[in-house]
Amino acid sequence: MLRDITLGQYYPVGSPIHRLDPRVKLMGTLVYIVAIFLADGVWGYALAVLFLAVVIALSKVPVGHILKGLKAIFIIVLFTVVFNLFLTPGEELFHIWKLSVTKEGVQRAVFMTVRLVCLVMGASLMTFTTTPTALTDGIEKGLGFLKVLKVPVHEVAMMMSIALRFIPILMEETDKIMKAQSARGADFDTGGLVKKAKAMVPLLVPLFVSAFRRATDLAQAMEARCYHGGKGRTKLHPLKYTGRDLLAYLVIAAYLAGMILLKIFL
Amino acid sequence: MPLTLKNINYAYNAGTALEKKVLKDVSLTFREGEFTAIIGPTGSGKSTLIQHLDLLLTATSGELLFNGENVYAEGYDRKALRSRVGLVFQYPEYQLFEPEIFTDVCFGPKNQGLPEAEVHANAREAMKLVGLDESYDTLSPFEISGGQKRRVAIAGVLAMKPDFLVLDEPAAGLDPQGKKELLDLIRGLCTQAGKGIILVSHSMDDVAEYADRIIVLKDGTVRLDGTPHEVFRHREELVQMGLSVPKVTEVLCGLKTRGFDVDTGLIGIAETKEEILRLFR
Amino acid sequence: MDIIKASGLTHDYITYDEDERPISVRHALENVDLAIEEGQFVAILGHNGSGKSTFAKHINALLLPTAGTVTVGGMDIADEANLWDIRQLAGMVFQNPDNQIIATVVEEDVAFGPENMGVPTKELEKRVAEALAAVGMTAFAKESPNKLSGGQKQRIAIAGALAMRPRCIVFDESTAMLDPSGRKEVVATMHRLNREEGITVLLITHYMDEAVGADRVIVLDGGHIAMDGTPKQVFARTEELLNLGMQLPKVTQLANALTAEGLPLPAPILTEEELIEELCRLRSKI
Repeated sequence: MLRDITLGQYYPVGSPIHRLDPRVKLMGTLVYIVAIFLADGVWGYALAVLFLAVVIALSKVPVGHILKGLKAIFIIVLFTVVFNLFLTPGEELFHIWKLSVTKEGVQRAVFMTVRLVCLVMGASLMTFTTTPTALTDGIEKGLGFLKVLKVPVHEVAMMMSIALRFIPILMEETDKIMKAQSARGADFDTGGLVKKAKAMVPLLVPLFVSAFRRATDLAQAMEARCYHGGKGRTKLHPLKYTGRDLLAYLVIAAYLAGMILLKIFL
Repeated sequence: MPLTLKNINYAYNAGTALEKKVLKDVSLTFREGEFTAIIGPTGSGKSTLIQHLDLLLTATSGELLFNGENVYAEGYDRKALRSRVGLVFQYPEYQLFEPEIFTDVCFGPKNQGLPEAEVHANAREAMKLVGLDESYDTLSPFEISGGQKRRVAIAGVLAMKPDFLVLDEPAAGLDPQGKKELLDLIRGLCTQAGKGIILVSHSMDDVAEYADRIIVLKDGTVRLDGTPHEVFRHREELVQMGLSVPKVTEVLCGLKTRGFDVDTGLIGIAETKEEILRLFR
Repeated sequence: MDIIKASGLTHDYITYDEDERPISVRHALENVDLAIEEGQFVAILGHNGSGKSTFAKHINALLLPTAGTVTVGGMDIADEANLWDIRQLAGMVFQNPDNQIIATVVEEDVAFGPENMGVPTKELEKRVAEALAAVGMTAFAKESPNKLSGGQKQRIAIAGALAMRPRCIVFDESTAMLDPSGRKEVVATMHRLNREEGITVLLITHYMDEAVGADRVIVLDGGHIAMDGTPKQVFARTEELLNLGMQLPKVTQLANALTAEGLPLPAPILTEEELIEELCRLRSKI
């Protein structure tokens, strides 16, 4: 179950999207996320879905692979659907027991689901098509201006990159510890909230011990390889804008304009 | 009470396009008081197999029988089976979590719902079995040596009084002394305490020395199953699978290719010595 | 020429209580004098807690001596001005394959060291390509390290050290967590680098059969050098080795058993081929 979380895993195929500068993809994702909140009608959502579909097609990442990442938010989507379905006032379609389902409710449930799915797919597409190192390079360079404000941009970027690398490892480890404690009769599934919280101790203590051990090891390995912060560091793949990136910026701008126009005129 | 696998199949993502068969039609019987080693190259399904024995994984098809009863049958007390079969993962010391050793060892029996006196008695007995006395009770499991940590972890499983003890590479990462002590201890659990031992290992020399029976797994199927002498006779087959034979067997095989008439199915130092001396008499 | 030289090296681990008062002192290394010649393949053995990892960490200036000095390539490790030069000169490969790979793509991880040193991009590309070729992992340059086997991960870690153009690589129990085939690939890589690139190898290990192939074997015990010599010299001292918690390679045990029965075999025999050769020779004389 834990291995199903694909968010943050790079999918190595060559595609126009993969080759884009990470700063473009970061900006694009940011714009996409903001723009989807502009959508308030069928056309707005349609444009958002269409845009995403085109980008996914260009990225050559199999749709099935991206959809797997949605399992992680299934519960949230379910909650959203249920809440919107039953708690939106308006024209009643039918009711179940004391809860009424309204036309507006159905509409909102559908829209919210589309919005959430688009959000997650859009954001995970970025991580599928961008190596975490490139992504952190993008953050480091794209947000480099924040250094003037004493924001430790390099350190934050490095931390993110390391976190991304270790998430799958710690996930697998969680799975393993859970199994090991289950073999000792631990029960993670039944009982009330308090009992469940208590049952987590045999899982969390070893997990933290292990995470700290890994952190110490990693710090040592980084030091041994002359790491001393971002100062004077060079890059194997330094970021350079090309014509393709400019074109992408134009497309993103056009998409944003389109979403704004739809919001104003429809 | 024997533990039997009958035509066990297991696949990840069963029924989807990504289906990957890990175990194929595996039938085996494990007995108490027997030291069984499972060997096989990485990815052969060893760790999937042992997780079935403890119901951490459930077969896609096939039966798991404990004392003749189908464990997968409706109404079977699965929790009770977990008490009968104790599973020790690789690097088990990483699962220790209580601030004191004795409390950690008590975790298993406590989960079995036993009365406190019995919990303590079982934990005490388990610690004795792994050679740790009362002086360890209140020490922190995080502040003892690597070999001791591993003993504590094994005691934590033994405290549930299993009939079978399943271990995945129990000696990995220990120094030669620590490794020998631990394997001797496990052998003793089999011979003296009568436990059925199922041990996954990568070391041909170790399994040749300690096991009563060796099962060779490759691509999810049982390729060989027999005493160490029987199994290590199949040198060519083993090498093809990416495995090997004990060092002394290797020497005998080398002599054979040089034209000497020696028995290449020997695995112990003493018997190999005799066989080589025979050439000089 | 000596690439590593320790004189009077002592290292204490001190534990402190909550008020930062020292409560216990453990001498991990005591007054160790040791010189390692450039280009050699040196194996360091010793049971857990013998001080071998502590020694290894001094070579890369990850630990500094409590007393005594260590020089690497003639540079004093205690002098902070030498720090980056020393770490470039003496690469290090650790035990856990997962915990020393920093980047999420193989080639970027290999580049991590030289990037930190400020090597220009053009040169970086060349170094990464060479380092990956040297460990036979060129085909995996664009892969994620998570998909590699333990042995492959360790080879990437070796490439990461190589890309810094070191003269010496310290392997701190780098084979302990690997399966036999992974161990074989990593040990073969070490020997190739030593032979073909002239890199000094310091191999810290529990496996006796890995020490057999070294030029020199050092056994540490309780923070002291207990034995030091060629594998032949060290493995001939059976009693002493056993008392130090070491074991003889299986073949040596067999050869010793045969010698005890009166076969005139030279001592010690360290490899299967050697024993077979010797037995054939003896037999032909009958």
